[in-house]
Amino acid sequence: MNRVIRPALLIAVKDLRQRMRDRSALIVAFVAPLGIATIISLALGNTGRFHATFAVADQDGGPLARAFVDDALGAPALRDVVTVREVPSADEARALTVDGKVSAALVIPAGFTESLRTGGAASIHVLRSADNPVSGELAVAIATQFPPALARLVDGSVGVRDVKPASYFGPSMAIFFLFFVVEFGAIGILAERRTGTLARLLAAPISREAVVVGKAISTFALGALSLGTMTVATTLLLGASWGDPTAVVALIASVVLAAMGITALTATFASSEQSAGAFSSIVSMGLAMLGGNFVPIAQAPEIMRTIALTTPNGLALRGFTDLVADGGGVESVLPYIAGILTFAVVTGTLAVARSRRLVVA
Amino acid sequence: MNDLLLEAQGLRKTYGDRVAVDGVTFHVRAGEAYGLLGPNGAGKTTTISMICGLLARDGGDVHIGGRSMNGDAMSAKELIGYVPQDIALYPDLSAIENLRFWGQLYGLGGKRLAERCAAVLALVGLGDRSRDKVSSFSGGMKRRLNIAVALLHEPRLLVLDEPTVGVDPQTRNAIFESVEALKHDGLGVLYTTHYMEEAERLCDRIGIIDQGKLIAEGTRRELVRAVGDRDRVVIGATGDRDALASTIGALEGVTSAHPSESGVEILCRDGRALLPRLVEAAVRSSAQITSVEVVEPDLEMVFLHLTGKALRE
Repeated sequence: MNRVIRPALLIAVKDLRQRMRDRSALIVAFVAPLGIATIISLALGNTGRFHATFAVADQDGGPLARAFVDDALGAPALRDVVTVREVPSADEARALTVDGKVSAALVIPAGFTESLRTGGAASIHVLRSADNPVSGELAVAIATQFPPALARLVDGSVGVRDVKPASYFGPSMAIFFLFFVVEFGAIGILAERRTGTLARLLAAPISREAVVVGKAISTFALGALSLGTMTVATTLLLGASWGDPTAVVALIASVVLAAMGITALTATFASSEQSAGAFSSIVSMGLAMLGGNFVPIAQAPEIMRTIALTTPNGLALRGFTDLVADGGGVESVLPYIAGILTFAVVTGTLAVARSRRLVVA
Repeated sequence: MNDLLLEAQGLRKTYGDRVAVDGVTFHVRAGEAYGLLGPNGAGKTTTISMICGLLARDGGDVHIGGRSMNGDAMSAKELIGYVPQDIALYPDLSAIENLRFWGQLYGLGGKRLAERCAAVLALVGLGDRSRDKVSSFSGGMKRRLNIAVALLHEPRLLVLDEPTVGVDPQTRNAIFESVEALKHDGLGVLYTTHYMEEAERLCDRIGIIDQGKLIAEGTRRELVRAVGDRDRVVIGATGDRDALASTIGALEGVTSAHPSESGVEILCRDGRALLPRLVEAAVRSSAQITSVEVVEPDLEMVFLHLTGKALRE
């Protein structure tokens, strides 16, 4: 044990000392995620939640048309989500939609009330914009459900849950950059091999496993430090909420382990630091896009929301937003943690098994 | 034979069908410098990588100070100070931080670590630069620190893998003097090089390695004697050197003649007596002679005699 733990700790401390002196590493670990999260949060402001403005042209003027505007579009559930802008004509509604000044338009044709009273067919015309498909879908959903029910949101997670942009993009950017923070562990072994220090380590009276364990310890410490710093910084600077501290720590630990496993496994397929960095970047970007690190996944189509939950990024983000939106404790995010740890165990095991080809002089 | 520090017996390493090291056997005693001399790719680094436990062996045994690298590898490694061919240091750490890290890996700590760091820094003349980052060092200073790291834990066997590659003459001399002093203090030294002059100056015994095989071994005198009374004649020439080598090779008294980059290398009996005929043959050929030199027997000649090629080909 003394041939593993003690040298592993020495290697970890040495690695951390090197990383703390590497300006680019500090930027990736702390400055970049906080900076980008800040920019996105400020840019979105209060509109970080889904919001749509509908132009409504009431050409009927009857009581049922009025009921649609006041009761369906103005339902309490939609109050913070939908803004109604009444316009005098269908042409104006169309023009506003084409110009992108409204999210979608609804035209209530003349005879709408009379037609419903006499039991005839009545329809509301929805004009959708290709630039704003989600709002268009929402307009269609509201229109097709009238009468008799009041409109409800298609996806409650879009509008009902109150998650501030900083509370979403704080963890989102932290997780995205985490992959670049932890990749140094596996790539560091390749770097040590290139410079000859790995040969010197292997010539020392320490076990080969000590090198891997040492790299793992320093990588975990730096990854956790990066996410932990983001937690504190976004809370203090951006007013982000993170939820139950124990649950946050558990989520951070699990997602750091998963990122370590994935980047380490990726590096075992590379022959140089450059190729390992390139592989890792491709995987990190792919997981970030699928997992919703760039766009709130709740606004994406159903299939993308499902796919997101097959990535550690998506699971972690869902866990963090659940903690804020629902106010639960660690038990509420256990399924997400279990999913993330599955990634960590599978990729980590494969990486360790393949590390024999990495840890050679 | 209890002063044997290194016993390498039948070392073998293969990569697929290629045999990199084939049955290499030698030993190093305390206070002795043993040189592994051979051209690039001969198997020198592979051999010492197996000796230091960096590379798994496909065959053979290694004992360091009587400790087997098979059964007691960690204990055996404690006796080795390994100086890799690369400058195996962390450039973003200072000299003293590098030394502390490597010293701690070898179990040093506290006052003893501090003493040893100071001692090796003084030995390599870097005592006044201990707080500076290695990245700010010159190439020669890095080379010296590279050796200092290997000496921290007071090893009994120092293994140096081509430590003078790419260094300036001043640093090379400093390295030579350090190795000679360490040998004098009783360390065993295993030194790989493809520079004949280094092997001749530093090493008490020399093993000549080529294509993975140890093809000769002994003191410089023994190796040269094995060549017999042959001389090496180097004819500098331009033009068709292959034809010149072929013409000279056919002369009576010539053991071998090989074209080189700058002329023809000839192994022959009584080179001085044969010289007029060699020049005459050269004049008859289409090559233009630029120089003629009769070289006293040396390791280069031994290598030429044993392998039919120059050491640096």
